[in-house]
Amino acid sequence: MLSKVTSYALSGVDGFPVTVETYISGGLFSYDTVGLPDTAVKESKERVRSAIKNSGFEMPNTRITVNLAPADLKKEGSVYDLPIAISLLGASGQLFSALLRGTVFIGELSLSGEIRAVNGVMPMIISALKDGYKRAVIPPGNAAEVRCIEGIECYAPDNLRQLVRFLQNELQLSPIEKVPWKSGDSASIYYTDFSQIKGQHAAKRAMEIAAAGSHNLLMLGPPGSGKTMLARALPSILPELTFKEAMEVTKIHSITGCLDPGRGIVDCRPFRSPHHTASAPALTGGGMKARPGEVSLAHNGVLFLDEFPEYSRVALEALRQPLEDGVVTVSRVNNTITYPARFMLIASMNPCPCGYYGSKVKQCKCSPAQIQRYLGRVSGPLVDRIDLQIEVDAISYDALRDKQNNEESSQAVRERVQRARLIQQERFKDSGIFANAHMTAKEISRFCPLTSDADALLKQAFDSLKMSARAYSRILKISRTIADLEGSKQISAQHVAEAIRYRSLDRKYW
Amino acid sequence: MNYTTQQKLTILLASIKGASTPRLEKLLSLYPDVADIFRHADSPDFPYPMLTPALKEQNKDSLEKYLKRLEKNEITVLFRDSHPNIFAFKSAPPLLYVKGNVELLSKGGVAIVGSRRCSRYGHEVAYSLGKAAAQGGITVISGGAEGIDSAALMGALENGGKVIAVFGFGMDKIYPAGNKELFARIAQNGALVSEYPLGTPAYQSHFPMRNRIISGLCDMLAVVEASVKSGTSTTVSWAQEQGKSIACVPGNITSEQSQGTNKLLKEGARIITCPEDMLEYFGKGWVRSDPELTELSPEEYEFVKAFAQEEELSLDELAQKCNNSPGALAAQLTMLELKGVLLRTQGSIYKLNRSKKYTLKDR
Repeated sequence: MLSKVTSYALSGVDGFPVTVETYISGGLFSYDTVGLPDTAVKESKERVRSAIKNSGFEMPNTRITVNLAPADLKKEGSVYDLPIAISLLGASGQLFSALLRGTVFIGELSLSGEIRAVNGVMPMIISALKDGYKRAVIPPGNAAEVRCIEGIECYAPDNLRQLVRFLQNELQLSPIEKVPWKSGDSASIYYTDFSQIKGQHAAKRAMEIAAAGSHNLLMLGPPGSGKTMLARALPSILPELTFKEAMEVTKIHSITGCLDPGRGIVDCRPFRSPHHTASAPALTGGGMKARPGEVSLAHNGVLFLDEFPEYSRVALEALRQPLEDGVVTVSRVNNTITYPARFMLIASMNPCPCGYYGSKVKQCKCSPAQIQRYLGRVSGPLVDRIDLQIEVDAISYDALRDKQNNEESSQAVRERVQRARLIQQERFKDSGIFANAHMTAKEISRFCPLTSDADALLKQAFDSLKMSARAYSRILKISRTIADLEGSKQISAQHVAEAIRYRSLDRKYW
Repeated sequence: MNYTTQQKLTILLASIKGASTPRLEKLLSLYPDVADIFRHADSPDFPYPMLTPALKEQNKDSLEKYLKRLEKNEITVLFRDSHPNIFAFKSAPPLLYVKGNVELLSKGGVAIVGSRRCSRYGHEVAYSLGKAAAQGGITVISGGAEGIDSAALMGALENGGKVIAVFGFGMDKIYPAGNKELFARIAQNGALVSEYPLGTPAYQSHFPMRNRIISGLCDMLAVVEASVKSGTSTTVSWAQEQGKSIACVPGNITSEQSQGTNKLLKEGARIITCPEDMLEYFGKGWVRSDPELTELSPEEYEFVKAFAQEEELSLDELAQKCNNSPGALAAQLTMLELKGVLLRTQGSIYKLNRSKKYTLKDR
């Protein structure tokens, strides 16, 4: 007998349907899986057999052929254990159900027949919904991630036996309860609040602007000046994640299996801080199966690179394409996949090998050549893609000791950021971008009109501060965000003057 | 450039690797005819047998080739014997390679030297001394290193002055590499000098010897900033030996970079407390123009007040003193920087431009 069941496979962040067909014919016992299965899929044979037996069913003792169609695409992982078991039971006449048609089965089986969690359930379910499926069976361990997907009923039985009884109408199972989308409170994940950081008002202001316009930010400062703490506090002022953004983020996190099983959907902007020994593939994605890297995991969130010049040159230069395009294309022998990678880059570094160049705390001991060499590890084109560059100096003991806490809380800053973002969303609603940082030359000339005062100031700054031409569009973008934070339509001289302050590094260092 | 046969042979001799200045001196004193040095290079009583193979290798072609190379690099070779007014100092080398204005070398000037790792203060003073020298028509002589040397040279060059940079390496090399542009400008508006033949790299050991030429060419040596153990101390001892006047810029007694200069002052060096002190030595007055009066708004004037007791203020300190929102502060700082009221030093530390006077704008 022949039985067909639908499951899903992943290509990049999108799923495609896989038909699992099982044919049982007479003859000596044999079990073959065809349709480009990888090792994990081939091994499913043992899990399926044991799960069927331990769930009280019978394993046919004749010739079994399992085909995964389309036969020309690679199938990976343990996702197919459950659909294979169901189709085998169907083919052997142990399961008759009208529900088999139009249901998507995803899940790994344990030897005892329990259904175990797998990676990538959420993007598969979203694709299934798009393809018109109305019903899916998924592992209970993945239930949380599909709670916000409307339009498809998901069931999460505990084991194979329960599932078969449900399919045969012997048991009632209720679908996973839908929860309306709500952006999470990042404070519950990211513990550092702006109010905990003493002083550093200039740096905090730069962070606010960066968060409001999704600008990349580079912090230079001596060790112990609080660069890392500032970066860690950044997520607490980022604007709320929209549902669409959350879906994109959760998809990527689901594929790599780094979702928190309790939380399911990613409801806060991700904050990724890979160690500086990370290789280029670790950052951009790669490996045999072209997995997403840190830049994709930081999609719609923050990628924090501490000790920027310590990363390998190759790894840093690999960031240039994703910084420019918002996507990263990973090419490997088996696959060429484009992952989304629109992240905010926050980098921190010391200004020189000893760390104290330009500090009031301690005298720098490095020679100009040493400083040049140290800064040279970060290439000009890369720095060019970083809109805001600020210096952070260690704060004085007095400020640290200050018991009175009159520092602004993240909540207050976040509200301003949120307002500025809403203005931007309105402005860019037809242009396919979300924030000021992503403006191209065309949009800059349209949305960044300068008052005559502002224009004169910018001209003067270029002449007397010897700014490079590449700073021009960056300054306009930052000025736009500063004006948005103020709720001003026009970019005034005041806004431009402040923006110039955040570009001063490129006239001095690079 | 037309050289005599003897001069040509001397140039060839000096170009040989290993023919250092002391060896050159000895050979030239042993053999009055330079051609004899090449001729007798393999004789048993030749004092430097290690030079023999190289000396024997030389011929007319190699001489012509080397002279062409000098010409291509626009280098003139000056000889002690034919330019006694330039080589008038003690321990003068037998010859010097010069690029640029040769006349300048005989006119003396002020040597402004100091630490390579100078403070902002040192940089500023060196620059203003260079500028004053330029305005007084005095040549600035220095080493072309980073720090004080470069600041003094820039100060003079940017104000139309004449400068001489003395190298411790061959003229076709550049060290430090970052000064390439500066050296090109000096070749146009002054002179580059070296006692080392083409192709000699910048060996550390060359610099103390190079310093005797700096002190030798000048009338007065002005030390801006130097720690006790710095290369500048060799320049000072050369100047003492050569009987040149030594002047120092006093500094903060807690600053390591001023300990050398303060020590020299204690030992009796002239003191330079303003550019006029330096000009006075050369018999030149300098009428200091009255500082221009800059009108500032009350908010801007707050910044001037903030610097009443402080030399430098960091961003956070300014924020505290002027009680402004960080955004408004950033904007004001840029405006004041553009007006030339505030100067930004390394990092985000600000300084008041004290060469101007400020008043509150009448409303």
